[in-house]
Amino acid sequence: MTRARAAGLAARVTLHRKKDRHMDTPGNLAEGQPEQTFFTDPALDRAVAMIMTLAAELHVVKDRLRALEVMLAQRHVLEGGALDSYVPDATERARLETERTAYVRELMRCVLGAQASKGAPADLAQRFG
Amino acid sequence: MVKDLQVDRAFDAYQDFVLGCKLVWTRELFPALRARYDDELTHRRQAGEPAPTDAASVAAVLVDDPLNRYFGWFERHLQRMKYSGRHGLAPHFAAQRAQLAADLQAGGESGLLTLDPDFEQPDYYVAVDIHQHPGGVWSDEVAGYVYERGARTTTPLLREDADLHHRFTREVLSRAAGARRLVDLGCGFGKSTRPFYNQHRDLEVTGIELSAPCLKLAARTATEDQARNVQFRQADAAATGLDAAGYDVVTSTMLLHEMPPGHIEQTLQEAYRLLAPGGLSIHLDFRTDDDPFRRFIHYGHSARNNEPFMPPLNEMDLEGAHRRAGFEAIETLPFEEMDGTLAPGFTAWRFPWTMIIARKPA
Repeated sequence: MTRARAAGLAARVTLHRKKDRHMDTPGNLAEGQPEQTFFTDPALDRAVAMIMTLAAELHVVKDRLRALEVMLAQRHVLEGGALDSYVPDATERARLETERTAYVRELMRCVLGAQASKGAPADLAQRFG
Repeated sequence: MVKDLQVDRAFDAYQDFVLGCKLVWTRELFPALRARYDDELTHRRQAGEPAPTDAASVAAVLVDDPLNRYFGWFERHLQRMKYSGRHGLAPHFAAQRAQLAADLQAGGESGLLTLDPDFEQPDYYVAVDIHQHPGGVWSDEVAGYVYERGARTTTPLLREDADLHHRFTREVLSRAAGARRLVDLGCGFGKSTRPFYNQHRDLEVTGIELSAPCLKLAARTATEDQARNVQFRQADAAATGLDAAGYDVVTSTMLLHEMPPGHIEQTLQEAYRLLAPGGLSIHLDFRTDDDPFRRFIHYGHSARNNEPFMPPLNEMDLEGAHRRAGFEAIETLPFEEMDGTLAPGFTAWRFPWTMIIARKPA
């Protein structure tokens, strides 16, 4: 490329040197720019993002569990299909039920929208002011 | 296709999940959105209301439609997850940085690569991380690997992602019988260049690209292919530094939509300079017709996928730009990237693949 041609090209665009930018951090935020939104309430955009993040992780975990099951069967630690036909004894059933009850209660009570601790009434500061 | 240096089950499972979601988006959400829009058109016609005439008026019609909102959300965020999620392309290849740097050495020592240590990237190129690839395809030493892996699913329906490039290679060379020297502008990591040099060992091929990381991967791949009929060179497609009038074909694949119109004009002028009399210029890119809904989808993709120059390319007088550069016999033709995509019954989402063909006067 001739010097004149390079000068002409440079005159039409601003040239930048290579920036040292790395991608090592998962989800690295690009210079604080807000993400695009698609719903009237941007909180919904973020909620859907959390749902999809969880959905992807769930798939990764399921895939890993399946691999674990296959490898245990290949090594004759477990018979193939043992997990599918597993029937917990009474003690284990009770433990699973306790755990499940606590889990679904924690999940479903969120829709009540109730405080878990005593919040301050709006006029509390004035009352004791 | 570049082989992964290490197997990572979680990465593979995550990427398969994201691709699976994208396939549903492609095959089911898009046709449903199109059907939703067609229903809206019917209602408007029956009510005596005017139909939308451009992308903006389609957007106004669909602005409150939940399906439209989710369609946009998923296009944006599935790509974000693919590149930047916990098991995304960027962190996956960053974790292998040391091994990949060693892997790229073979390309650098092959004699197939010319880099410019003082090369300065154009402003428009560094202003945005295209495709939502963090840092862009140029700024990180492993960017070529990220780009290569990401490009395998750019067109989700294609099972063999290289098939598109083989088809285009056949199109190019069927129009350039007897071609001996070819330039592939904006060659990236060599995906579009590879069918030319690999399947036509009597063809001298030169790949031009801005990104050093991509060029290193291109040279490494060509070294593995034991190719001696290809050279890769770091340069701007608008100022390649190659000899004038020495080439039979100048081509590009998915380059023009990544440039502003002024740079496209300069690139066409450079292509003209490079071609011998009678030489062929042929670009594969994205151009949609005047259908408002197709423009709405295409322009929406542009905004959601960090590809801001798609609408300007779509609206510029590309044929006029070719004529101003000196070309004649200018044609714009649809391109079938896989069997059936141009058939009337094809309903899935796809890019508006288009070939722009021209000749330098003999």
